[in-house]
Amino acid sequence: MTLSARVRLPQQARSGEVVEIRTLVSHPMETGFRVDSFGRRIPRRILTRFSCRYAERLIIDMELRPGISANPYLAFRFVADRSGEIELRWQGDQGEELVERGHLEVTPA
Amino acid sequence: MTAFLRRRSLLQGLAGGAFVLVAPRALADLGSRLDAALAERFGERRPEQGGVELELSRLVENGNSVAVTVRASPDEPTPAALHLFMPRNPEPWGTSFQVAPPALAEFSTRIRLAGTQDVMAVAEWADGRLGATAVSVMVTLGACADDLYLEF
Repeated sequence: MTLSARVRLPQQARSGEVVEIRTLVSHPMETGFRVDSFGRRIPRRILTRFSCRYAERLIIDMELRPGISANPYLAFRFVADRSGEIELRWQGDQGEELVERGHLEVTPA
Repeated sequence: MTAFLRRRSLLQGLAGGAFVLVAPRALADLGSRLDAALAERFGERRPEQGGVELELSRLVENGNSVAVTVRASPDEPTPAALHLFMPRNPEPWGTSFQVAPPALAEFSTRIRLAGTQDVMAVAEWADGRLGATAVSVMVTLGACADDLYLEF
């Protein structure tokens, strides 16, 4: 399955400004606890990890479990302190991986 | 007429059955389920009260997708991680969010709730200290009702 994400990345900010990243990935996050109409257990299939790198630094590293809803939504904030690349990475338990990249240009305050 | 009768008896059967299956477990060992989940994550350490804020609705209609925001209290130093626990879910550990500057210790996501319960957020500082806040959430319709029959 190919993953797809809708991502809102900041492109520009003043130094010291707090910026927000919002993400939404299409993924069933199948818990492994549900059964189908024949009573068979539906195997688990979830995204297990999300991480964010900003200007060569790992700033967010998140473990996801079945308690996270289908099509996981995540929003977080950080202080824009220098220009650099933003890299968002999701990894699933089937070996799937999705990477989204953007560039944040930071101007002096 | 027959359709009406059948539907009524089905509804009564469902209501009765659900009560019998869910009631004993719901009251029994939620505390020990949470305790086991905390022990799995933190070993011997247990959180003290406070240091973290947890925002979510007190009453939700559908447990499949419940918006939640977790953040460290403004008067606290930045924690190394934020965790979420849902004690009544089949798997009480919800997520762990490790954070490093310049990111703020705050995130918003959507979680599943298998039923009415006290959702708990835990902040973990680099020195090993833990702080927790719990919010009672009433859930009208739990996430995937099948869970209840398998796990409870």
